[in-house]
Amino acid sequence: MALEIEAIIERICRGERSAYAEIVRHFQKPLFGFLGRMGLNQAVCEEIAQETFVRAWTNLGRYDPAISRFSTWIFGIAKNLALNELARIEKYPQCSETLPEVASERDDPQENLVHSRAMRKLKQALLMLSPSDRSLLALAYLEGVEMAELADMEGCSKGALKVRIHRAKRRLQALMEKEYG
Amino acid sequence: MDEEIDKFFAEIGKMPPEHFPEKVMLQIATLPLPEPPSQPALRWIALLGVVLAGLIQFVAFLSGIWSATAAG
Repeated sequence: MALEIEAIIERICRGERSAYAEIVRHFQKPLFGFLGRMGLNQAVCEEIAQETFVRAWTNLGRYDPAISRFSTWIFGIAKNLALNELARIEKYPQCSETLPEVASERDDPQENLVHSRAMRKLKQALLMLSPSDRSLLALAYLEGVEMAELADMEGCSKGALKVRIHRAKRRLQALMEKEYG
Repeated sequence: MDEEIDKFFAEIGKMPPEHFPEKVMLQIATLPLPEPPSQPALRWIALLGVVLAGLIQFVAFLSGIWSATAAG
């Protein structure tokens, strides 16, 4: 369902605060998905998602639909906050992030075990990946966002974006193989 | 391998907790209303004003040089 962002912003500026809930409800799921894929735990995801919506509210007047789509703008805010958080975690490793276990829904226990191991290795490799690669891959897996929009968020062409995503995946794979054979 | 990575990224995305929008809206209620977005027409007028002011300055500079040169 497309969201009439400009109409919602107009309603908000006329004093109808409750209209903002439509934006929050629309973007909450993809935002949490994105933050989770950055390797952040649930509590940090909640904190950053909340801060993203607060900052978007405060700066709503600066949003210009002629320059970017609203999704590009709001994910840009979330990305900056997440990168700051990753930098803070790197500086103070005692507050290091953890990824929760990935639930497996396979019936066969053997298959389940193999899958869980692969996922665990990928989780560890993800935590070793550079923040910029993490953010790139996290954005690449956003549902319903076109490549052109992602390229806008990353400030590069579609072709360059595809190459960067491919390289980030190869680096993730290399880290996994280096650490776990 | 790509398939494994695709599955992994599909699985690690987090879900918002129940009542997350309500929690956000509680905080929003404490904040002032955002400034209305600036009108594109006003921005163009402002830009035109700045360009005009720059042009006047440039012409004044050139005429200053011309006057100084003409005065010998």
